[in-house]
Amino acid sequence: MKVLRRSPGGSAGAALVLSVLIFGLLGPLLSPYDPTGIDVAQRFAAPSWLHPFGTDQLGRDLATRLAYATRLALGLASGTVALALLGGVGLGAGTAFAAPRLAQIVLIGFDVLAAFPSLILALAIIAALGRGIDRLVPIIAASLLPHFGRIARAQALGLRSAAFVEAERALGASTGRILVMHILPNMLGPLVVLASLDLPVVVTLEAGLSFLGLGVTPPLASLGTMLSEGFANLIRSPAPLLAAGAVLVAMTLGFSLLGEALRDGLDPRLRSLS
Amino acid sequence: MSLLTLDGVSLDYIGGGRAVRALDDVALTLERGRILGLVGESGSGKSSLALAIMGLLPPRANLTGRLRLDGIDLTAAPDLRGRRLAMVFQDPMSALNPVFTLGRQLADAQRARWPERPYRDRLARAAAMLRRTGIAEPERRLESYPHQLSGGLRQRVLIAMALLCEPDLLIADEPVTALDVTIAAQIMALFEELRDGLAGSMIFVSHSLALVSRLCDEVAVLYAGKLVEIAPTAALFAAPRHPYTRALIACEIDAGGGALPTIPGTVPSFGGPVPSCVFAARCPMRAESCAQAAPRLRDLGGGHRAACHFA
Amino acid sequence: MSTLLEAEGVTIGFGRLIAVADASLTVAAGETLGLVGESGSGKSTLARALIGLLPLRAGRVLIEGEAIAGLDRAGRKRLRRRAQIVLQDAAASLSPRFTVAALLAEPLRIHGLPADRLAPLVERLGLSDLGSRYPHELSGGQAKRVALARALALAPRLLVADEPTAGLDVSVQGEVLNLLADLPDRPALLLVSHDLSVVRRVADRVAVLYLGRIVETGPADALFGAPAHPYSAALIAAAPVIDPERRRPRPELAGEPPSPFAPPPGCAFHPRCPRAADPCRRSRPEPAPVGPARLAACHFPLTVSEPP
Repeated sequence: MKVLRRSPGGSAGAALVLSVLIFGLLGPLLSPYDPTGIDVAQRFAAPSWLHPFGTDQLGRDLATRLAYATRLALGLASGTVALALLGGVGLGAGTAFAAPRLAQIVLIGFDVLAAFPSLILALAIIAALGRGIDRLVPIIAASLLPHFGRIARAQALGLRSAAFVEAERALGASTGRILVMHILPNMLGPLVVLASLDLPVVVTLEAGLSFLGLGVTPPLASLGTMLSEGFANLIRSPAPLLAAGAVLVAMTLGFSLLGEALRDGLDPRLRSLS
Repeated sequence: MSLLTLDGVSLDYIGGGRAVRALDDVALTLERGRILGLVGESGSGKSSLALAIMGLLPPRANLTGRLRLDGIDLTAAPDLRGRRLAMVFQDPMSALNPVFTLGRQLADAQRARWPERPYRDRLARAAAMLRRTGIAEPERRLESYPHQLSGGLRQRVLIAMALLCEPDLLIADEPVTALDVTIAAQIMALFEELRDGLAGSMIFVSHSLALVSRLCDEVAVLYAGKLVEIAPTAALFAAPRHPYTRALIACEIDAGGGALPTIPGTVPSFGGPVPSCVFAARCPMRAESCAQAAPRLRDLGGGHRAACHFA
Repeated sequence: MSTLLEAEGVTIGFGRLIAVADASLTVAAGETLGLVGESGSGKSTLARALIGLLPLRAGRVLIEGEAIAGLDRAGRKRLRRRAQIVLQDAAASLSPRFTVAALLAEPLRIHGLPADRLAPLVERLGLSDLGSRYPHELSGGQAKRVALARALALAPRLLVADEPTAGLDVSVQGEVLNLLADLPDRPALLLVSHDLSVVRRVADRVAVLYLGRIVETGPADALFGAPAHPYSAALIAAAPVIDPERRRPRPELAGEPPSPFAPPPGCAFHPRCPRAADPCRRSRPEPAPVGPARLAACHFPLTVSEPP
């Protein structure tokens, strides 16, 4: 079902995602350097065999720092999206079967969360609770949750009146069984695609917060902090900024292309069968 | 010259690198003033044939063969729809544009044929045609919107729309299948009434032998894209010559007891020209020759033709 | 014959819409009752309510002497084992991501029954080779048989077949009908259909519905041979039959079915009825006997020996 990467965009996206994954997962394991290892003598070294991307303003190996930053971004993004998916699907599908009053309350909750631009919401919560990765994940998940929740609800509502659901009910299946075994599996396809499209959003959000200095704390490597440091030292060397930027673009572009190809692949597949 | 001539008509749908043969070497003629019934089950190709004649096939359809209306080559995409060709579709609920009044749509339908005629004249003609198709208070109806009408009424409107351009050939594709039994009976009675005043010809596509038996002058039976039998109505039902036709008639549910006959198996689907008899796999009279050569439509006299080695 | 199902004064409504009004009927064990009518007649709605899938606004239904209303959760589950349904669109009634094998095992799993019940059913319905297929890979007839097997797996005493031949080619309709005429364990069958030939063939008794009310009931042969209610007569006359010589008179029931939101006063059929007279406009006829085991709700029923 997922092997519909006949589109060139999808293949490109898949390739980018794969590269980023390998970079982020294997990089930290294979690198001989410590991402926080300061070596001032080596600052702003040009790309060389020793340092494939060069070094930053404190002499730290850029490649290593990027790998760690990528890993961080990937982990953060998948964790956040997973959390939002779980919460969104659970609540959204639940409203399709719950009592109308309860459903209304949940939906209003969705609207409230969705009303805040995610960046502003994040800033507000950081202001209240301080910074740190553990704070970031629930914050961003919360801002994504209504998105998944609404779509999950629409899907569940549509499926609720499907003939096979009526048939299962007629056989005596409980609502819980119907939800878990019959409704959820038929919803997941589109949702997975959406999640893939939302991953770059989270990555960008994290990068943005870190760029503003409100994300991860240094000396932890983050794409955002590397961007801001690179920006500050642009005159000395463009390498740090370019490298961090390139990785960020690769990640967001890759997931976007892949997600869109998957989404297009799901729909016309049904049409081309006729 | 016959009004409609089909010769060697074949149709393939191309998709995903594969081809599906919807029609294989279909040949038939239709004279003026006659009603032809096109009968078949799912996968027979009857709807595809109707669309092919109308020129409404999708781009991925590959049509070969000769189709001529009054000598005009239909495959050359002459602009005959709304002038000499008209069609009534199966689903009356979705065939009308919901945002325009009936009057507007009926007047619009005449523009292909008479682009110069003033709107008021076209509306008047529309009202007269609505009356002819059994709709009471037609002037008032012209101002209604489609959603205000029931299925039966809408189908009458669609029939009126098709007849307004005075087509030489009217094709009705399962026009009563979506309607209730008593309303369908009304529409069939309407067709029977109209046929007497009908200048042109009609093709009535249906899966129902019963409907076709009453209305049509001749019946053509399609199976898996092949024309297997064609005959004047009385002759077809009195003495069907093709095993499939016989089996189909036998499957009509009557009040008798015992097990109902069925045709075991499923309709086959082909990717190209068929080298054997399309019905062989399910035929009670199947023999060696059936798998080796595709039977041609043989003339059995009296306008009766069947494609069977043993007809 | 013992009475399996008893319905009295059943009324079913959805908001402002009354789908079925004051319907009463009985079904004996092992018999086949045909529910006949056109769209808007309420036949599908009534059938579903009779087996407890829809709530009743008024009236009561007893299955094997037990009321189906007011049951607790366990009671409702037990009811599902006694009364089952095969839906009109069989392929759509099968969960798309389940294999046929899983779909067949589902009812047994839901009720905690042993799986050995399945084997004889699978055999009998010719489903042995279909176990690993998915619903979208089945033909119309195959899907119908799978749906039927699922309903029969629970060995219900009452089975509803909702338009069993809908969507099936003529050449395979016989498959389903032959199966329904010879069901294992002989449950009572509630056959909902607009196709009179189907009902005539399979049903023992028939109930004709118009705009949510039962207008006539009686033994199938008697009713089809000599209908008492003018609507039944019109339905029978309108049913398509192979007739190349055009022997049958052109049936013509004029007019359109009324809107269920605005039923005509008195007898709902009177605007279209060829026999309508003053009393028909003023008062609604109650079902009254018109022959042995026959009821018709009409002020001027056709006498059972009179041609319609």
